[in-house]
Parts: sequence; C-alpha cells; structure tokens
Amino acid sequence: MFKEMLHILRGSILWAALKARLQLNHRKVVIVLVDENKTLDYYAMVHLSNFMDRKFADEAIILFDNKATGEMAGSVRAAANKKLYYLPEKLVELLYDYYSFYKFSDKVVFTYTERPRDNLLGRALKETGVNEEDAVCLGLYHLRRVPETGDR
Amino acid sequence: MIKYFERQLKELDDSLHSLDSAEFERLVSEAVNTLNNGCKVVVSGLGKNVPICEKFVGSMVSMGLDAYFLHTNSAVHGDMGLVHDGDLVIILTKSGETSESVYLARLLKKRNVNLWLLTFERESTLTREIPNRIILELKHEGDLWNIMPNNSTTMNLILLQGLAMMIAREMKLELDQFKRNHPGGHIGEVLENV
Repeated sequence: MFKEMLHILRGSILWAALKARLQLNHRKVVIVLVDENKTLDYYAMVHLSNFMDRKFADEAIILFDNKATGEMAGSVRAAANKKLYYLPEKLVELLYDYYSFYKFSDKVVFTYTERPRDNLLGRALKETGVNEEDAVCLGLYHLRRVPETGDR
Repeated sequence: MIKYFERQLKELDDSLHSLDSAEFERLVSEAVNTLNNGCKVVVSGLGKNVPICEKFVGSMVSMGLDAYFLHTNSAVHGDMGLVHDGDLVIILTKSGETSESVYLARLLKKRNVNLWLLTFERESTLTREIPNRIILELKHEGDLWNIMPNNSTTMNLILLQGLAMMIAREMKLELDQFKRNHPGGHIGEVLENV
C-alpha cells in the first residue's frame, strides 16, 4: 500500500514538473502518444485541431516515448500549432498511473488501449466495427462525430 | 426552426467541454464537507441568474440539503446576515466585473466563508480576486446580438443542477429524504407507496 502511495506521489510530482516546464495552461492540450497502436496515434494527430477547438486551446504539447512516433507526429500536417517533447517510457507510465488514479486534467489524452486493466478500447478495436479513427474522435477526443479530415 | 435548437445545443455542448472537471469535483467535495459540518451552500446572483439560483436552492432543499439564495443587490442591504462562518458561497457573474458582485465578493472575503466564483471570463477583477473558480467558455449567447443572458444562464443552470446531483450522490442520499419533503403533486402520489 505504501509503495503504491509513493508511486502516485511520484506521478503527481512529475505532473507538477511538466506543468512548470512546459508552461501548461488552459490554452494548451497535451497528447501522450504511447505507441501501443500506431494507427491510433496517427489519427490522434490527424484530428488534433478538432480536439484543440473542442477544448478552446491554441497550442498542443505532444509527448512521445520513441523516435519513430515523434517523427510521425511531426509529419502530420493537419495537426496545427504543436510542440513535440520526448518523455521516457517509464515516465509516461508513471504519469498515466497517476492519471488513472486521479484525472487531473480534461486537456490531457493518452493513447493507451490496454491500460489500465479496465480500459476497453483495445477490445473494442479488436472485436467490434469501431476503427482507430472512430476511437480517437469519439472515445478519446469526445468530438461527437468523426469530422472529415481537415474539417474544423 | 429545429436548426436553431441544434445550434444552441452545440453551443452548450462546447461550453460544457471547457469545464475543468477536477475543479468542479473539488467544488462538489467542498460543498459536501460544508454540509457535513452543519453549514450551508449559498448561491448569489442577480438579473437573469436569479431564477437559476432559486432552482438550485429548490433542488437542494427538496433533498433536505441546506442551501440559500442571496440576491447580490439585496445582500448589502441586510441579507448578508444569512451568511455564517463556514458557509460555502458561490457568486454567479458572467463577466466577473459587475460592480455589485465585486463589492459583495470583497465584503465576503472578510468573512470566514469558502468563496467560489462561477463565470465565463478568464481575465476579470473577480477571477483575479477569487482563487476558487469555475470558468466556462461560451462562444455565443444564441440571441440576435450575442449580448443577452441566454446560453450563459442555461449553462449556469446545468452546472448548478449538476452540482446538486453530485452532492446528493456523494452524500449517498436516500429517496426517503426527498420523499419526506415532497408529499405534494404527482411526485408525492408516486412516492406514497414507495
């Protein structure tokens, strides 16, 4: 129990540090690309501008834990005003554990499909007609519809 | 005609998604603590927000929860007497600049109360002065000139009703507590044999 509490505390310290370092505020959204599902990560970038509109944001911070994901994120033109930062996988996991414990912001989105254990996104993608674009727009970004690409 | 309503529903939906739910949860939690400590929740507004506040108070008291409406204008003419130490007071003001609201807020800050702000402006006198705040974005009021209190008051109603329902959930209220206060009308008849 103590170990878990310490882990959550470390997560909260990490979030506080990220907020200060990245100067996060109500005009910024944070997308954490975790590379569990590359197609999902891709559509998270394709519809980023729609999410920014949804959250009244004018800048996006993209966190990624490997070079290929970072390159993909940088290459998607549809994603407007964004800044990319590398965050080691262990720290991404730590941040997500804290987020799973306490949803500290509505402007942060992780692209995990299998974590935590009750995350049904992975199953929905495998076992139903829901595809990655639907999952991003309706599940992660809560856009209420799947916009045409570039439709803002 | 239906398009008008669809547009307004989208406005409300967009506005709702600007809510900082962590802050809202904190408001719920502090309101529950306030009530558990034997104090009350007070909502204060003026103009078109008056019936919104009254609806919230009506919902709260029908569940047996202590809530009062404080008219922002009348407050400084004696009505502030209903505010006691330990109460949680929510001031509604769209701009955060209305002089009566600013005046009241400054007076309440001198008291031992938990002051919250419900507003639509991120930069205003009251957002600077009240650290506990729920700030919503709103693109359009839905009237001809984007000036009338229309969608903003609807959003206030949605937020405050949500607050009442979340408080009830957190406090694990039983239907009996509502039934006791609502013997009248069709609802009373429905609940009679429950």
